[in-house]
Amino acid sequence: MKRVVCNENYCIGCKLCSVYCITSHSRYKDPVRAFKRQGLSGEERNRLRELGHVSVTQRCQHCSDPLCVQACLTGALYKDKDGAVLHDEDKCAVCGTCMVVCPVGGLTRNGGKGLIRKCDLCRDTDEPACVANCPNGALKVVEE
Amino acid sequence: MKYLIIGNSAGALGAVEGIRRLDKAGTITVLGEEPYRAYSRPMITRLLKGEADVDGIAMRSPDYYRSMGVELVTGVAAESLDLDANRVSATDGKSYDWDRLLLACGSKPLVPPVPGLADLPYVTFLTADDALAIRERVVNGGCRRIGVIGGGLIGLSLAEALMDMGAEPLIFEQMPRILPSIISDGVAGRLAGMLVDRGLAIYAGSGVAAVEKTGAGYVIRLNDGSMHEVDLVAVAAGVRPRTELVSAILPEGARYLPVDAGMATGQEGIYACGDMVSLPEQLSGTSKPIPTWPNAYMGGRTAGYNMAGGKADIRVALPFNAFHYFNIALATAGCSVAVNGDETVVWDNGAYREVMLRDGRISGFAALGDIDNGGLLSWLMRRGADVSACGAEIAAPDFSHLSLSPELRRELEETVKEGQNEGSGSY
Repeated sequence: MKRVVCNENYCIGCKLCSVYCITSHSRYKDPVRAFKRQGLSGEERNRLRELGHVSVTQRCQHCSDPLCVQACLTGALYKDKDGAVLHDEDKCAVCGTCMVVCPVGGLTRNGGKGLIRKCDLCRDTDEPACVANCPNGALKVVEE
Repeated sequence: MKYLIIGNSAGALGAVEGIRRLDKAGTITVLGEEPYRAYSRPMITRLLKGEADVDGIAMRSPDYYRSMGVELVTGVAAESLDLDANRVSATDGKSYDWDRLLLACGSKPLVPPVPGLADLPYVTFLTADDALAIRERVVNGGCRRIGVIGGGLIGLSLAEALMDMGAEPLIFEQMPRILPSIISDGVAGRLAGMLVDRGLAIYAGSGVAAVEKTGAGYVIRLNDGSMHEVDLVAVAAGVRPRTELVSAILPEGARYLPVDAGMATGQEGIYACGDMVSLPEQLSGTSKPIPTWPNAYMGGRTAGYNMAGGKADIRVALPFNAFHYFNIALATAGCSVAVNGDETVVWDNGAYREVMLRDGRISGFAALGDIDNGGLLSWLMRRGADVSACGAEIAAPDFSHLSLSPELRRELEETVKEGQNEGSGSY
């Protein structure tokens, strides 16, 4: 299955991956409109981790047998035919059980808005927006 | 091969999916007592609020049973087991045979022996029909003040839905704190403060002495002498395993049906999972009930896999609880209330976290407000990693894999690469 991985030797912690993740999932596909007009701030599907000068981003790794899908209380998380782990937002209770079992922070929660988001590999486009817009080549798609 | 599954909730879905990993041809029959497809019990709040019907909270798509080759028999309960003939007689007058049987009977509400309670039309909140019945009483029956006996997960989810509907729930918890079985005084005190700020009435620390009828409603009298008038009484005091069907194989004095890590009961061809069983808990190895939804699903899946000839242990045999009620996030895992000898590492700065350590290894945690990356703590707990070198940082919300030793980081990377140990059940 495809997954996006981050090389911490190249990641500069700029969070452009988050900006373009949000943009890619917005109505307007434009960063300024996505944030200012649609108000999608905080809905990125990845998380930046930092320790001292080291930075790296985490997102869903589309496990072949994911615990999040098994633990989901509502059936909102599922694996599709291609093996991607997807999330039906309408079925989600935002309980966070998935976040308590995923070891890589593959699901993000926006407390204020009360929603959970996860990487869907930008399946409508050729390349995930985070990978396409990483300025330092830290993100790449791997397929095993 | 003929598979028979008694029960049609999380455990049954897990079993169907476990069986079909190995056996695409065997016949699977699921006996469901309720007249519905398997639905999400935690989502019955949506039924109560009128936001969805039962189909709208179904766990799987409408063609699920057909596509998985399952005969679903709804509205039928098992009545008795014939262990010699491998046969169940059911309330539809028919009998059902098995080569492999899964017992996934679940639990029922615990009704505390409060004087007066049994005689009045109280409600419970475990099933779709429960939720619809409460809705009827609130929307058409004019019930506004609702006494909720029990401040656990069920009581709080009910209270949140009732407040959303404009009703006025009052929580009565006999223990000194809410959610007494999954969070400590430190977490519960902060959570209760946040809930009270949002307008929820909580009376903790005094049990209900009696419930009496008065005029159109009821009076709930607490042991401390205080009286509370309500229009409706909801019992949310916990659950009891449904083991009536298996009394013949229940060890003497046992409340739960014990199974091994492969979910086998010890009776030839009979497996069990979910709220009705006790199983070897992962950290202590002792047999304990883990009445959570993920445990029911995972136990069912392990059982199904083994019923079809596989050999696996349940992947995770630990409790996990997470909720988002009143726009507050809470997550707990493992032994989330410190016991004797546990060291508690606390983070109290904006968000609040308690991480319990036993011999330098995580035995449980509770996170209030910010639950981000809680799964990393669970992973460390599941694999018994020594985290003593992490110090107080382990409880910080921004604790990440970057703080782990190179060996642990490599192992985490491997875990993900292997798709989380598919089929091995080794963690």
